[in-house]
Order: sequence, then C-alpha cells, then structure tokens
Amino acid sequence: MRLWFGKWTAIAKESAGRAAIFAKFLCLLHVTNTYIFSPILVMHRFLNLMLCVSVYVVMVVEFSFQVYGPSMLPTLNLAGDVVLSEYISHRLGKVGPGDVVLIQSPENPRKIITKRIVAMEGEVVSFLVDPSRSDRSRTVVVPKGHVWIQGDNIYASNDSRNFGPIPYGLIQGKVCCRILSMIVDKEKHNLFRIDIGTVLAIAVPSTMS
Amino acid sequence: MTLTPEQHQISIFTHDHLRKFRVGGGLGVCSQTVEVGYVRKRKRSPSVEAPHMCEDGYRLIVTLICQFDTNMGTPSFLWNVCKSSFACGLIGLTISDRIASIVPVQGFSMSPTFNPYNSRPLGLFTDDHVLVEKHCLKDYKFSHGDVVVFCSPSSYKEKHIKRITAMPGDWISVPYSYDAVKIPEGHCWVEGDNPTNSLDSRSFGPIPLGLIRGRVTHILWPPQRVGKIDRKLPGGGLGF
Repeated sequence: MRLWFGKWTAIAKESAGRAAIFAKFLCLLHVTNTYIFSPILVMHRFLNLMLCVSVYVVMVVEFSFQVYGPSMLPTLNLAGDVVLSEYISHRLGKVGPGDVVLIQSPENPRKIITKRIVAMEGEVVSFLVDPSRSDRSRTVVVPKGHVWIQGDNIYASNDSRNFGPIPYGLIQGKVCCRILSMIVDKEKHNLFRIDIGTVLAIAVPSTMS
Repeated sequence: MTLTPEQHQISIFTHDHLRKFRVGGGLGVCSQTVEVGYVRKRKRSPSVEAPHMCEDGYRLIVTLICQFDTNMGTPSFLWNVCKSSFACGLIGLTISDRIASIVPVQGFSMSPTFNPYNSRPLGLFTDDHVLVEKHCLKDYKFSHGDVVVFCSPSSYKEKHIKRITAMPGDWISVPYSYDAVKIPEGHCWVEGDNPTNSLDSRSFGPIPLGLIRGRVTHILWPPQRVGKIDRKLPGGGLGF
C-alpha cells in the first residue's frame, strides 16, 4: 500500500515537474516573441489560402504573421517573405524615418500592416494625394506623438495619405532583415529561396519625402 | 552519524541526469532537496522505497548531507536563486501580457468610479489598484461603457484609464460645440467619468482601438472598495 502510494506520488510529482518545464518554455517563447525578436511571414492577401496550413502551424508555435497587399512592392516580395522583426527599439523610442515597421492598422485593430516611416512628430511632409492621376500635392505637419507612414509602392498603398498620421503607440515592431523570400515559379509551384540578411532599412527614396 | 531505516524515508525521482533525494527527519538536518549528478539505473520504476536501498543509498545520503552542509551559500545556491527568479519573471510577464495585470490608478479623471476621495494622505497606498484583463485584446470586441486602459495618442509612454462612450459608426455630439462627429472605422470615443478634470477624446478626438491595452474589470486594493466595475454610461443610463 505504501509502495503503491509512493509510486503514484512520485509519478505525479515528476509529471508536474515536466509540465512546469513545458510551461516555462512556452513563457520563454512568448517573452522572446513579444519583447525581443520573432520571424514573421509577410505575404499577399490572395496567397493566404494556399498557405493557410503553414500559417496555422506558424501561429501555433506563436510566430506571428500578417497579410499585406502590394504596397511595399520593391522592398518586399509579392509572393511573401519571412522577415525578422525586433521589438526593442520601438519601446526605447529609437525608430526613425526610413525604418520599416509593423503597425496595427488604425482601421482594423486585428490587422497588422508593414509600412515605412516617412516622418516623425513635428516634421513636415508633402505628399502626392493621388499619384496615378494628378500631380496635386499636400503638405501637413505631423502632430505630437504621431508618425507618418507610407508604403514603398505609392500607387497601391493604403497608408497615412488615407487615414492621416498614426499614433506612435500603434507601432508593434521594427523589421530588421529578410530571412526567406518566396518566389512563385510558374513551372515548379513554389520555390523557396533562402536570402539571409538583406537589410530592409534603407534610406527613404527622394520621391516620398 | 548513525541512521535507522525507520527514522527517514527516501524517495527518488528519475530525471534524465539528475536525481533529487529528499531526506526527511531524524537526522539533525532539516529536510532539504539535494541535486547530484549521480544516475543509477533501476528499471523504469520512478520510486524506490527505503528498505530496497538501505545499504547503498544510506551511505550515499549521509555523504550528500555532509557535502550540502559545507557547501551552503556557494555559487550553486546563488545560481538556483537566480534561475528560479528568472523563471518567476518569465511567468509573471507572460501572465501580465496574456491574462491580467494589476495597475494603480492616479489622478481624478474617473473620480466617482476610481479615487473618489480628494485627499491623498499616503499617495500610492490610498490610490485604487485595479485588475486589467487582457483577454479582450484577442478580438478587440468592446462595448459601450467598458472602462479601458489605453496608450495616450500624443505620448506613447503614458497610459490612461477612461470609459468607452461610442463605438465605430456611432454619432456623438461634441460637448461645448454643436456639431456631431461620426466615429470612423476601428476607432472609439473615450471619456472620463469626471468631465471637469479629464483629458480625453474631447480634446484629442477618437482613438484607434489598437491603442487599447486592456479592460478594467475589478477594483482590488482599498479593501473597503473591492468589487466589480459595472458597465454604465456617463449619461446615467445603463450599458446595453
């Protein structure tokens, strides 16, 4: 009887120990992904269904993902990229013009978009209102605590030109580099190209500022 | 040092490379957990009773206790403390991010609901402490009358506590002026319960829902005011 009881106590203790180790591992994963860095799958809206299984796996392992249109076209691929984003510099206030950032969309808080910061608070921005049709431009001053964001592809981008400057608190992270870019090939269905360390934080093109 | 088998119990838990020996009572040493890098294969049973290893385990444990006594306060002890505090920090951070956290309320902008007394004799001790739940951040579903914590749109380091009075698509009449404002998609209108002493949407306009960091559900700290926060509208009507 005593032996039986001791055995089960030991099993319970050991399983509790294992569960604690697993929980600690999940906590470490969460903290790393929230406060330090995480890989993110950036991809086009229409390819969403094709990749939904992998996205599900990615979500389970707590990687985040997001959906974006062709708005960052020259910098990020249309087919989808896996980028590394870090979550330290925006908490320290170290992001500046030219950085590619992850932002919670002000129109739909469940969506995260990738745009480039063009101007910080207090700076003057002039931009083309509708670049595909006219040359009309407007000039605004970014208010306190806000940033002005634009996509790299100014012809197809829903950004600050539509919804105005956004509060700094909506910035979720800064994109450091591309890890993997995915090229859709017509003959072979999908081709993954490993492309490590392409730095995305390049200077702002002169047409935008 | 002499031991008799009745005086103590030994239970052994198999880890992969470490074994924990818990020794209880009768030794003149209080029961402590000792880790040793000593693996002893014994089939697959996780527990071994004392009589089975009376001879061998007996000597082992006596030497272990001696080692532990002399090594008290060595780097391994500090290392254990560091490890456990690191784990506690990780778990606490995850809980405060994912489930709930406790924040103090300063200022009188929500005065009838939080901090109803104007005198503050002890500052932090008399301020209300509230429970902020983060579960609502998964789908950003809020309703009229919810008290929320959000980042100030003019300075990302400040956090404010206000009450949601209008949701996307509602029309709201701006006080001290005659025009009505439609709340855009993905935004909400927040107001304090104390309109004379509150910096809220009446000064900075509707805020994006993405700035919201949690929903206040309970008051926790001043013991006489512990309770749930009901959902009400500042006009006096009940939330719906």
